[in-house]
Amino acid sequence: MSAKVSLRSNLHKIAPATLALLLHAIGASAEERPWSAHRPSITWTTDWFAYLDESTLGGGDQHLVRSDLQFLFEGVVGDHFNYSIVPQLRIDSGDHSESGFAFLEDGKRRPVATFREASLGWSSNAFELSIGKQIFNWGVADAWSPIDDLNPWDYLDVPTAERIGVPAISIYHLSEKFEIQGVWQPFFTPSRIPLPGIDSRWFPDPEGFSAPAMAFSQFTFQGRDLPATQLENSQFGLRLSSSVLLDGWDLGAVYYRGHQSAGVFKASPAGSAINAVLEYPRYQEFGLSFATVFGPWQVHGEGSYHDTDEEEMDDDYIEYIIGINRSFPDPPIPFVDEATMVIEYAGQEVTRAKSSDSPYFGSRQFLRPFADALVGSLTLSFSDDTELNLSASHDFADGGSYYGTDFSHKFSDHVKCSIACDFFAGPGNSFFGKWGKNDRLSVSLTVNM
Amino acid sequence: MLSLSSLTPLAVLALLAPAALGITGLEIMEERERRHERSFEESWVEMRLFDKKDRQRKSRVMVTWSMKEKTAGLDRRLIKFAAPADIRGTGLMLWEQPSSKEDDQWLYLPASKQVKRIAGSGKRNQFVGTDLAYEDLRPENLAAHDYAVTGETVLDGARCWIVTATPKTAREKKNSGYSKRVLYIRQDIYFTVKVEYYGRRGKLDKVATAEKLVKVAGRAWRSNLATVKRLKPGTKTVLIHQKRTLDRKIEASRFTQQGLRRPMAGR
Repeated sequence: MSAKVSLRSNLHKIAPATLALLLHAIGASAEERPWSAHRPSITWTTDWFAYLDESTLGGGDQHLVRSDLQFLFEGVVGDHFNYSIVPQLRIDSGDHSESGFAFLEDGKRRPVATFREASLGWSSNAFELSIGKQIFNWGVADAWSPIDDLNPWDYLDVPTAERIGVPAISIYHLSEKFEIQGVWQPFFTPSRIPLPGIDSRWFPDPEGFSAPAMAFSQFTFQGRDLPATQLENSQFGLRLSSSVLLDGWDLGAVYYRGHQSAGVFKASPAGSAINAVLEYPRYQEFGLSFATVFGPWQVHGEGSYHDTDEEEMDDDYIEYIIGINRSFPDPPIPFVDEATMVIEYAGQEVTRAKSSDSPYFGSRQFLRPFADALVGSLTLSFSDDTELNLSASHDFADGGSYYGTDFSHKFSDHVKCSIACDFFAGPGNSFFGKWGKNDRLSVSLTVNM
Repeated sequence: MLSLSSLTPLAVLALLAPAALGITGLEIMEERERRHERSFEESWVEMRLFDKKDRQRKSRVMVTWSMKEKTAGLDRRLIKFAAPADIRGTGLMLWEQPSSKEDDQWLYLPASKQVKRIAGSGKRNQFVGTDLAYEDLRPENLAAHDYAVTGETVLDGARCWIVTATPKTAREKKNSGYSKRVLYIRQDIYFTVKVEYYGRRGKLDKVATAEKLVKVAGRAWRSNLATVKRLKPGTKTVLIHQKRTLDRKIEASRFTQQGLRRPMAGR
């Protein structure tokens, strides 16, 4: 809590100072000067959220201010070496951040200072090696990816969920027909979820945790049981892909072995109460993906089989998503230059359910958001600088829905402003229903240089 | 198309007399390709965007790598943006396919770290707010167009053929944003110095001109300054070459999805 108070009290001092620095830099960047690839680029984003519901778990107010400053240093040295380093500073007026620096982001909250990425790479004609904190994305879908296991996620604010960088060694090889990439992660980094004491306006409903028949709020949270850092707990992924095996198709096969990053709760009686500990089941996953084009339609899909080692900890299941994208230049809509549409269907089949008396619960809360869902978005571009994005999702399995709009405008190459709203609906035991107190309006200002 | 290699190297035109001349439009285009296309090329281009009042409103710096694929001689091209910061790292990769097939295109967005295959219908869209369309970035597809010599002229003291290119294949007719392009090609060096683009309804949409021509290797020329002006909005994009490397081998892995993700080289 002290970190929270300290951040709040200093936010008003930090933000104007940062703003002054950035505005000065913008003025400087407007001057004619040679551009250098080694010059860092800087992105500063400040979001202001106004929640429509006054309820919060932590008793906070109805507003949240969040500020994020990122520096990007990247380039190539000589013929074979490259680097990508992204120092990041972030604060918020709530309690999503905690003071201090952390390279390995395994805390419950976001570190104020970290390296979002920091990696060195070496490449030759057929090989590439990169070492350091990295972010990977092997998925081809838009809404979410069943084969995307390499990075944990920050779910403290679900509409703006983001990948967390992990220390990893990646080896890539290109052959005539295939590309193969292996990634080894020696350290476990959990996803950040709204654990008790973190005010994310996330309200788990007792019915959502069917195994222990009592409200989640009645549990005494005993902490996280993170896998120990040892060789047998390390994680690795392998991807074989090809864009030439079948003309016009991107095909991929993925294998992953590691720990579920969001974890599952284990309930155990403690006198008249029940204790809950967050554990991280080990599993393996086999996945496939494709993407191709039929005329103006882009079609993509991916699916995976998730096999949990310890059967009582979680189900085994198949997840999949299939979707289409299309762009409409000059659509018959006034003032619209281009419309881009994405529609996806995401499904899930449980192949082996854990036993009904299992003490573990909660794996669907973050790991499996879509069981039978339609997800879509429509982006209307009025110009290169102004666009409106509409997005929606509905899960027929649990009745949960999400609706969002985002109107953004670039005042220049350096300044962008957006106004957005997010609405959640559904029963209290649905994935989005639990986020129902997050209905909100938000304003975001992004400065780049 | 107004390919970058012919755009940077664009060149400008001349107008003129009736055709005849004993050479066909296709022969001119083939000779043009033989002379100016190289196996490997890397170029750094600054794009300055001007509004209709001729005020510079934005600029972008992009890097393009291109290579001729070994077996069929098809073009592979990768474009990455180095500046401004809001699009830095954004990449586009194009694999030319035989005319009977759609070219492969992928877009990389650094914010999501995702490479997405994209459909060809976006070809006529504007390229990151410039006055160029995505299809202007493709290499000239000789098999997908008819080329007719429709005249001659003199531009900046240089005699030019006027070659009219019209889509030939059903795919090109459907996907291209142009009903025809009129190319002005210098007779002495077979270099395109001006292109007039006519929209699908047959009206002149935009004009591209190339200046500051330089001989870069053998019989190959390039332009160090090109201007693309769209007539209706009155906006223009000026492309200024900052650096160019020809014939230095570029790794094949550069033209893969992994290569699209890789950081770009410093200068």
